Amino acid sequence: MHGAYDLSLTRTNEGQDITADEINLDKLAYNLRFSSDKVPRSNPWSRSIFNGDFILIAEFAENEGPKPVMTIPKNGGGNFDINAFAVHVMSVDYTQARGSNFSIVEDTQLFLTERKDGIYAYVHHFTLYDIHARGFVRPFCMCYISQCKRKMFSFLDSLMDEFTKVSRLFRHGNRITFIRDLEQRLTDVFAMKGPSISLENSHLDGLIAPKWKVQDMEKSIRKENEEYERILQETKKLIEVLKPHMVNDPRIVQQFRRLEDMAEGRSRSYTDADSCPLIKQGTSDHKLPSFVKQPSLRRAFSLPDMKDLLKGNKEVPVKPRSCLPSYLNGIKQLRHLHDLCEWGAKEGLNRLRNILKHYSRETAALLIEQTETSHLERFPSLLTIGRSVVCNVLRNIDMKCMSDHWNNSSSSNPPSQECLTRKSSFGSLGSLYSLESFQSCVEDEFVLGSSRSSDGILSPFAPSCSFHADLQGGTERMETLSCSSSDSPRTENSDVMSTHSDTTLTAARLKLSLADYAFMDEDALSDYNGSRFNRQTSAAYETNVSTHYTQFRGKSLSLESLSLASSGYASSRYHHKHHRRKVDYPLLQNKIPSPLTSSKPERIPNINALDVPNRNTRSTVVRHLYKRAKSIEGSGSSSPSVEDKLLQRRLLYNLRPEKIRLRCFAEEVSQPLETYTGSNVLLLRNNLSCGVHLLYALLCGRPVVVLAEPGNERDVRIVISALWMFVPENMSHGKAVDPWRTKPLQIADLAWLKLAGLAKNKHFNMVPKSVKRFVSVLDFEKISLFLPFPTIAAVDVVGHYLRSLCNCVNQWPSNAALVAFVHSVFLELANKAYVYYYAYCLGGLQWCCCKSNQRSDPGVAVEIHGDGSEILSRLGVHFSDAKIVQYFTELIKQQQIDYYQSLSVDHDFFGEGALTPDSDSVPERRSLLISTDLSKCAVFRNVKPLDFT
Amino acid sequence: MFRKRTDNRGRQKVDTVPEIDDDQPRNPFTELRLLSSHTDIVHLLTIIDDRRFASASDDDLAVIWDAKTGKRLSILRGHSRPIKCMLLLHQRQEYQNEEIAATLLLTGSSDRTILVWDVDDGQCLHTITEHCGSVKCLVNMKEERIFFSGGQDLCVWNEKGEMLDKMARNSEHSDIHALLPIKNNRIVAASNKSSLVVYLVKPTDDSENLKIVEFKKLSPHRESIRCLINVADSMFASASLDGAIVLWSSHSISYTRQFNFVKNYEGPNHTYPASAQHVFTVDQRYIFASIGQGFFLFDALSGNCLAKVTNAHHGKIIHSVLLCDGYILATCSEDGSVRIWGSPNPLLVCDGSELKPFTLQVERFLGKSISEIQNLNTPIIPALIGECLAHTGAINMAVNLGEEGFASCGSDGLVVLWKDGVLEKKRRNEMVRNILLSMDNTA
Repeated sequence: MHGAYDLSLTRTNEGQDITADEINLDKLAYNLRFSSDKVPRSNPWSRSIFNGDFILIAEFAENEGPKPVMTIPKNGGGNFDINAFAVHVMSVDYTQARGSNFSIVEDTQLFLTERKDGIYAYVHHFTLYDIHARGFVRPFCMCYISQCKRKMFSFLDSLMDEFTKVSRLFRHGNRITFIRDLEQRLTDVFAMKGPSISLENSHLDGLIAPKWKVQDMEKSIRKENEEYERILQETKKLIEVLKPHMVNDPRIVQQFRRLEDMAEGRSRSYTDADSCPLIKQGTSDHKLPSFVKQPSLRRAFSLPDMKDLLKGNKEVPVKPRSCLPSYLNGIKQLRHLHDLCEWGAKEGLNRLRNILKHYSRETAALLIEQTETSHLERFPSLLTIGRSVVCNVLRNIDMKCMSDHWNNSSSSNPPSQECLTRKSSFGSLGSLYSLESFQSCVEDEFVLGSSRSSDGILSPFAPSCSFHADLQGGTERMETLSCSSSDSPRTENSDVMSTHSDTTLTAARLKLSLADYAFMDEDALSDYNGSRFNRQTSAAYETNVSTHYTQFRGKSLSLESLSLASSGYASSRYHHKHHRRKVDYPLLQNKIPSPLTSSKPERIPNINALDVPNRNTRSTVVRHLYKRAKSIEGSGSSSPSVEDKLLQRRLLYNLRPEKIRLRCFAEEVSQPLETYTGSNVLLLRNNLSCGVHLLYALLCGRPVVVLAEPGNERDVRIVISALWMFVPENMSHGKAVDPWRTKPLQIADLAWLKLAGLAKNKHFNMVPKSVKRFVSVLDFEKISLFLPFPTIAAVDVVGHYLRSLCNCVNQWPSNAALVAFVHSVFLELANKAYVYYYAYCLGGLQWCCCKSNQRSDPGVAVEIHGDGSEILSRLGVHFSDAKIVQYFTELIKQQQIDYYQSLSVDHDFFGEGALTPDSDSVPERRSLLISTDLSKCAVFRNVKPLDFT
Repeated sequence: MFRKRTDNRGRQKVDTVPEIDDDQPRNPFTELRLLSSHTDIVHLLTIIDDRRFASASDDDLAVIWDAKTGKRLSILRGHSRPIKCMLLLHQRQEYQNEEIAATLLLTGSSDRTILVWDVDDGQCLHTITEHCGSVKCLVNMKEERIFFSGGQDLCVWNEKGEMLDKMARNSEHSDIHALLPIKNNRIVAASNKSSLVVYLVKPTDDSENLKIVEFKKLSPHRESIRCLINVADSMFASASLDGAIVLWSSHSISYTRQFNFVKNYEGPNHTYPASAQHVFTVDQRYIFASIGQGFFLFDALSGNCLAKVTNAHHGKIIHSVLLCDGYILATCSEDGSVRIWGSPNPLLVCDGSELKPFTLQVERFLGKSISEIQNLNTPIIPALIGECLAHTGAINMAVNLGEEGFASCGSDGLVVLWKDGVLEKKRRNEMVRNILLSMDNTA
């Protein structure tokens, strides 16, 4: 705190440019502060005008002039004068000269620096059309405003990209509305032109006194008809101009259609219970009474007032469109963004929120994340610990022998930074609304390569604090490759699900379908604090994703298709295997939907082990996080039981082992949230003296079990969440951590389980003899540890890396600092593993040369002598560290092999012969591999008492 | 090893069960694969070839597994009752007018049928229903190209599955549970009785069919016979519930020698603590016997006991097998563990890299040359070098898969494939290399 303050003092005299950096320093200093992470971030002496980045949407209102429409977040900008800024931005007449002819206006982007306030803004102008607006245009702009120059410069391109996508959404939604309005007007005018005379006559006869002269009548009617004719022409011309721009992107149309389908399904159920507040947001005008929320004022052209009045009085049932309650006539009111764009606004605003959430983070974190994203490129060789990216052994490796395969996309399409930065995911609704999802670059490459798939225009930006290697996302990719219709069976599935929950649950909140999270967000933002909101969406996201991507096998295929699609032209150069696979595609695709469902029940008991029946372990994580958040933050805005029930319902469908979502450690450091796995590391380190043994066990792949009384569940979960950070994961296995389980461990669990909280039970031996030898047990109450014996000696004597981690002499000012340090240690270990991988596992240079010389016989193995210990000792890795390094490489190897096998699973050793009719799903046929640690166990006692109060 | 003070002579025999007290550096089996397909007790394992093996379970299924990867290759579905026995037949002649050199797997079940499977595609080729009563055992006589099935009846079949003769044993109360073909077309049958019956298979008068005739009855055992093995061409052995192992001459069908005579064999509550569960031979001379909770190694020729551990497990040893070319003995026990035993001489490493001049498996197991073994005065006590824990119930059987380690099956329905961790790591290196290489084969 002091540091930060001093810094800001010393910098007062320097130039304005520094202000941006100063903010950053402030934030960094925050990490070095002594206080724990729970202290709120606000600085009472803040010199900055506003706290974080924000997005401003402004428009040039024809009746008021430039004005801000909204900011994201709601109070974004703080003391910053957004009105002045809006005037400044919107007063630019950037549009082309408005001639008499209507034409389509393109977007304009500009980068703005305001020295005075030290702000940098990216401004994106776009134009919407409104039938009631002057000249039919409504100029809008979106601005991303930040005080960090570096951020704005580094990410200008991606910002521009994202904003363009948003604007495309807006515009598309808007055009639909506009065309509809125009067509409506057309029909209205048609309808009025002909029968108006007779109608008018009859009405006039009845209503208006006979003193009116027939001559006047005729005159006015003729005039009127002329007017109608003019309007008719004008409208037709407009439609003519607009039409070619309508169908410029079939994918957007598809996405909109899907959204509408979902909404329709929902609104259908809403009609049953129309008390729902969301009814206002419904899509179709026809179902809703027009005066509820249709300020469709007639502005662009004016009919005689009298006519209006007359029709207003009489013809409401005939033409609801053109009839308005009279009280609206005098009010000059422009249509809101939501009315202009309908779905586009929904989508666009959500996306803007996600963009903000992503880019409002620290620049350093963003940059690190950008770098680490490139690690995801070849994910089978990616090492992750505690769900954060550590290292990829094949990153930027251009071994001759691999380059052809791996880089074939780059040959046609070099993976520039651009393509590595996050793009959007395909329109899966799950990730659409998630703040936590992140499209990996793997898919992006694919996206670039394939013409059928969405190029991300529509796909949600969905950025966030956590990017994930979307391992299972492939199914959907595959579908885009294969199927002609965008509606996959799984999507429909989720639809069914949502309507199902709609009709069965009674509480209004429970009526939300998955898609409704988008709508909820707005409420949630105001109702709940950030992290709550965060969790909610993520929960929804997971369930949804799981229903979408139920097929485990899809991933492999998608990757295969990735390479295929991204270099379709080069397919002739492919290995014959690849050819074969390509040929097999239709077959595989056909298979996918059916075995998927049949395999579900069989697989799950194996993988997800045994938890409370209809709530798999993942749900407990979510639930737990939710619980914890509640207890810590004390937000009781909605009843937990409702939430739980909802989650449970959702997770009933969560039949797939969850996908691994990866994260960049930088975000953990820059935005320490309660939910992060590393959030309690400091606590753990300070309270658990034997923690180092646990960490050692985890890092070398020995499962750790925390055994505790059921009453201590909450504490155990905290311990688990802290230890989670140290679990190297095999990404092909899915989850590795089970925060709380009540069933005894089984040997089969060890195939995937690396860390678990276990409830003590008087009747069962929770850690049976068959398992006990292979796990390390921390008895939470007794504070003793069953561990392999030599670790204590090894760690204390030579375990260089771990010792530095757990050295009690070091005082860590904050959890974030420790997390950062831990990651540096991981990186160091991973570097050793990297060298070991190449020098020993791959056989070093000699192998590479050898291979390039004798390509003809791939089966010939190059003898590699020794067990690699020589290499390790040369690397300066000894004893217990060596074990960790070896485990890391094993993990990578295993991932690569798993990946490869899943690629070629149908063409394995026994070929098609193995596919007997009764052979079940593919993963089922594979056995669980367990690497055991035969070390002798010993009991350790903790010196300090565990105190988690 | 901790030994109690020996005031009481009766207690002196009760050694404490050895326990692992180190990191098992000599235990190569650090990786295991769980082959979970069965839903009931797995009783039997049969090696098909060096790459495959089959398991049979009480859930009426047999499953063929890949020994290297642990992949399930096929499920043999067809029986309606538990499978009691399996037999591998290498059929070289034509089958249904087609020349097939197929390997067939025969499974005999309590549902009174014998099914014939093609191990390559898991198809059921033939169903034999003529056998009355549950099929308890199947053996083949290679040179005659016939096989026998035992149960209530004793049947003989040709390779096509046609019954050649049936010996109805209606007067007998207990089914045949073990058969042993010996030379001169004789076959020894053991039932839950203390006597063995030797049958002679001879051609009928028209020399078309074969005929089974009872040849001799042997009853030196005090209790029912548990196992029957061939020791050498000229010898076979039988082991019984009382722990005795009787050696027979297969030529004269006469008693030769008896090992391990236990006086009070019955034990408290008829638990037969010294019962012989399993016997196998190596080098056509040495008999490994799993007796009670311990195991013994006898020299069939000299009648000496070469090695013994009387209390090797906490429960009875159900099955034992020699692994790694004989360097390791694995014992499967009711207590849910497989323990592996090796020479007490720690110089021996079982990774096969050392070229010891040993040719016999016994030499490797004991770590001594044959001459040393023959001059042994007291039995060697093999060292416990590892414990393989994964099963949660009794382990019924283990088979040696050579380089691939071994497989064990248990009453928990699991088949566990135990792998040499170091070897597997090297293989994975190789695999990764090949993966990266295969990506390269663009030619």
